Amino acid sequence: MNRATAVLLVLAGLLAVAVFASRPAPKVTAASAKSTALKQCPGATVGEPTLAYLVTVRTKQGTQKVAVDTATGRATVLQSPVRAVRYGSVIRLRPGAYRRYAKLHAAVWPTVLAALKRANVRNYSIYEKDGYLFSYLEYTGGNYKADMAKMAADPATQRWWSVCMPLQQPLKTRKPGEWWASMKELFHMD
Amino acid sequence: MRRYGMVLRLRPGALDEYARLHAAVWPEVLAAIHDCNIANYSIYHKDGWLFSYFEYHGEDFEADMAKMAADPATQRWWSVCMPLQEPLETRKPGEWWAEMDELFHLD
Repeated sequence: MNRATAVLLVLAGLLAVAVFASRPAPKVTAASAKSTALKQCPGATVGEPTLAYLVTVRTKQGTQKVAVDTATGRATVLQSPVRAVRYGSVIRLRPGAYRRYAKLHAAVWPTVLAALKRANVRNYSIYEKDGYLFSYLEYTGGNYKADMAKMAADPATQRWWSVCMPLQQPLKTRKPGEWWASMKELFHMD
Repeated sequence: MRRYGMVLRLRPGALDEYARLHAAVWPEVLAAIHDCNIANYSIYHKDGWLFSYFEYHGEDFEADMAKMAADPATQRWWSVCMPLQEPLETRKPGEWWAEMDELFHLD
């Protein structure tokens, strides 16, 4: 564990103490927690009940959840980091299409949002200025091409695209097979 | 947390120098950005367009931007980067990078 992570853990720990002190008594008792844990993982050894702080740590590889035992200070990683690949893309809006595009995107169909989630897309934003659209997204799956193909085969997404694409004007300089043109990441800081 | 999308142009011929600088941003500049409550900050390029995306975790964006603008290392960094950039004529008063409208977001 590097120093920055250690400092983050301590700060998050202090925050957790404040939150813990202000919350009502938990409904889960040590005994019921033990019984639940043993149902989930038969044969598991359950330690003596101690308090642990649940800390979320941002690392280069993604977000990680760590439990820190209050008695011993021992940290246990609860969840493997999710590796995210960032994508920046650009396209133009056709003249006069801004209002319609903004209205559509203020209420994207739930079926389309669900398809994005299934395709392992998260933290996805679209920005506009002077007729240029810029999109930023994070991909957390293991096969971007396969997930994009899955999305392209989804009927709701196909209907959505049939509404949105006539409002867009792809760049002539886009790569073969692209609609939104992929951009080059020149800089990133976590 | 608030997300920001910003845009400006690169001057013709400036891409190589801009990319070289941003492949190794000075540590004191990164520290200033971090101290001003900015995280998950990326800059993308296509056809002379630069788009930046970042997440602001502080309480007072204007005050943090003023703090960054007062930082000597950041001032030196900007004096190197700004001549490579060409801000949009349609930017708002006081802007260098022009703020974009967020039309869509999915967590």
